[in-house]
Amino acid sequence: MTIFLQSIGFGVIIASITAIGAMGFTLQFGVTNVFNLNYAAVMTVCAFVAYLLQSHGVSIWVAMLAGGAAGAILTYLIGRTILRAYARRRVQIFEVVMATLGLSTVLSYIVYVISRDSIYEFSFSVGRTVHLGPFQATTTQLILIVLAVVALLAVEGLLRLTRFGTAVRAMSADRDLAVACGIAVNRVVAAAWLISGFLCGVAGVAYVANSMTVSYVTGSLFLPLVLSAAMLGGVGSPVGACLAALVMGIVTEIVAAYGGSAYSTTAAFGILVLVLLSRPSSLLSAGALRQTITV
Amino acid sequence: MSFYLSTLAVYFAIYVMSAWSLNLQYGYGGILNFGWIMYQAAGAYAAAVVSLGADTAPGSFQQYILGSRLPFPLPLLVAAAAGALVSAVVALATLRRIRRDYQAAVMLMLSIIALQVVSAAPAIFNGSIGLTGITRPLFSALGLSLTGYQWVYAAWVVVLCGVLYLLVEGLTRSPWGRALRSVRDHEDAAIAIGINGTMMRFEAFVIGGAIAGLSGGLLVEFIGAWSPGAWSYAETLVVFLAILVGGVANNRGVVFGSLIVPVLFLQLSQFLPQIAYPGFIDGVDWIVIGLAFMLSILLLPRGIMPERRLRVSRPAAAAAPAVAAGPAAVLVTPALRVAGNGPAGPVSTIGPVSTAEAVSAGPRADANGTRDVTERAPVLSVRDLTVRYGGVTAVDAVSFDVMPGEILGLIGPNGAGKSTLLSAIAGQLRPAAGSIMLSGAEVRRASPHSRARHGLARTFQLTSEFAGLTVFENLLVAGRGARGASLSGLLRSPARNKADEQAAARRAWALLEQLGLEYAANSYGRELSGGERRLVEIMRSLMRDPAVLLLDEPTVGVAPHLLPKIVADLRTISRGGVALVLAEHSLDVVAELSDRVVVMAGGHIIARGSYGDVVVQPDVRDAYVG
Repeated sequence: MTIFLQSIGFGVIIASITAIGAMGFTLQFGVTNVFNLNYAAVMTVCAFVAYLLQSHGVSIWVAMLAGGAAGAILTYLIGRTILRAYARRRVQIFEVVMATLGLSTVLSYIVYVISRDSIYEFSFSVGRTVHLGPFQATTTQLILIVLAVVALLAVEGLLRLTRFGTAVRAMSADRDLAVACGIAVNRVVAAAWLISGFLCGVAGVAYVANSMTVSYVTGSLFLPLVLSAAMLGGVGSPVGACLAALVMGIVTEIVAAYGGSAYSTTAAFGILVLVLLSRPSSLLSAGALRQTITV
Repeated sequence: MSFYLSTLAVYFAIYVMSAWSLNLQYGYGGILNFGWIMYQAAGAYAAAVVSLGADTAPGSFQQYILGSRLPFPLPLLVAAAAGALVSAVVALATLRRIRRDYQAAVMLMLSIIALQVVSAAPAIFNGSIGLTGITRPLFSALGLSLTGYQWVYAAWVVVLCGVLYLLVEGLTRSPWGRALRSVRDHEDAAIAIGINGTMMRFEAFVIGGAIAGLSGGLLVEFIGAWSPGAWSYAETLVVFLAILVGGVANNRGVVFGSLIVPVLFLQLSQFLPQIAYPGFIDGVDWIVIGLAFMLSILLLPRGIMPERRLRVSRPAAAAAPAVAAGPAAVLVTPALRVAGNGPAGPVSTIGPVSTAEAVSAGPRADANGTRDVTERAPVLSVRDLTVRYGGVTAVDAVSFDVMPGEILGLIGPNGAGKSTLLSAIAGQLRPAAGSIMLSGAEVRRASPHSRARHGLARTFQLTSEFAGLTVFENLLVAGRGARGASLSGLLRSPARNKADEQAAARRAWALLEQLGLEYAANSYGRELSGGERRLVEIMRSLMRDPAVLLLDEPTVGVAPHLLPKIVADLRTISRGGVALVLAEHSLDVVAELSDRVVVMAGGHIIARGSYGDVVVQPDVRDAYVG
């Protein structure tokens, strides 16, 4: 029983990290319709930015902010230059996902070349281990959970309470109609790149702050969790992404506790496949059916 | 040097196989298998463990499952079977009708996860260290020098390549391959002409997986080892790039692509002197591969050698009657007489072809060529059909009948439920309640492709031509029906297949002549104008002599000067005995064509009768004006 409860606790920690990334992904996808596999590589880059800063004595939390900023800038620049080039040539939607995979490879291997294909270990203190009943977590992990909650509140607040949020939701629901209603698409897309890029960067740093190691494959190890949560949660729904992350985090940790870590990611994927089998319509929501990207 | 060249030859041949495997899935089937390398790995691991012997044997230092020692060439068969099996399992879970970019992401994630599992669980395939010590098949039996053996192995792989080429080329050029390409280009439309899209993609995926598995088996028997390092997701990109550079859906093009990308580029860079540190050049290679991949999608998405265009010219015999009778004259009555006397439909028609076939509706045309709608049973009968989207009832208990040869106009303001109604009848949407009788049979629970096979055809609001098929192929693919399109049908009776194919070709030519589109027979769907696309769509739906044709806004996107032509064509089609259900915004077109009109608003039928009668009713006016 203790193991069971403990693994729920660990699941919540993993879920918090995943949720930050999944919210960014779902926001980005809802607005731009780009299924961005390069998300993985951006997370890796940001994790390395944070590693560099942290290893030079900067606090991990400041480094995380810097990683977020790096993610925002990188995502924005890629969206505005590279992805725009594809949009201009009106490539098909499945070719865009291919392009993002190519881009992800390029970025990852730039990191590989610079990092000399090595695994780097963080050296900051994770703080003391806190026990709350059967649960236990380090101070760092507790902060990560709080961070995820703050991120959820911030994103939801942004979507529900601001004009920008209304515009984003309109774009996610029906882009053409949104454009016809006079929404400043350009500005909404720019903001979506920046915000989602920031969340992407923070998620990448949060992931390595929990695992304490970083290498050029960091992002692609983390990507299945993030994408599964975003797809499960439904396009453009941060709350859905968080709930999905929670379910997946807890299930994977329970499986890991009882079946060994090799099967925990399998469990995550099993959940995703179950959803594909039972609710394919969740992936066919009206906003996701359109066949062009907006970048 | 000889040693090196023989190694290169083996790699080249295996890469060519890999490219054919992925090209079948991506180029012909439109499946973005980003996890392709996993199926090669499945074959490699399978061949390894059945060559190594039991892992409990004395001297064994590795852990793995299913250890046994099978004689050559059985491990290769096991490898192909493993590739096919893993593909089948994955296909069942993921080849759903979801967006292709989602699907691609799922496949990518699956390969990443599989890699993690295999690395982390030593009991399966010796974990992250991988398997080693796989002996080369027949090495001691042949008694050759190492280099000599290498050349023998290369020759063996090249022979296998030759066999595989015949297989993939035969498959992709067959009606099955054509049907697969139609699913790639527009799945809904492919289903609407009776093709089982899910099954087609499943078959392509599994065959591709088997070839991938075989390539993995050949690779592991040659290298003697296999580990997680050999199958990171990026390896899939190399094969993709070979296809993109060589030619999408071109089996010869990808041979060229495999020569350029994996062989010349990746191997030549191994000759560079070491720069910086070991691994640096590998890293740069991958960066270049990724960049090249991005650029080829942007600039050359169909490759240097694109899909080969099927060029056909009209057979001389078929052209004669058209000249004799003149196109306008053949459209109506003489055609029907011919059709009425003949046994049934074009498949049984042998000998010189006349344009009559084009217009006839086969067995459904009246024997004397007159239209006598009143005394016949309805060919389509809809009762209390209800469709709900979540809480919204888009079609509410709608009932109507359509007689053979009748044109039923379906009008109503935007959001009235017209398209939903058509989709529910054709099977794209599942109705919540009601009954759909097609030629006397209940089809409410039938799949859309089986409804199509029972005489229901439809067009789509947005034209649905197969962009990557020529106009002629667009028609052929619809003419074949279930037999030639399914893999089992293809293999079972080559003779019947040939007859089917010839019959379909005759019918296609007749239709092309009737609708005046012969000049475009060899144009790709994507090269056509809006009106031409519409005509192709209409011709395609007539290929199988439908009893009922559902037309969703057939005049949208049609240039005004083509409008009278389409109206006239539709009238001719209906006179051939086909029942038309015409959902249309242009009231002029409806007024001109319809025998009867049904007016919908808010999911209900609010009026029915002749066009003249219904348009004056106050309800109808209110519905339109608001």
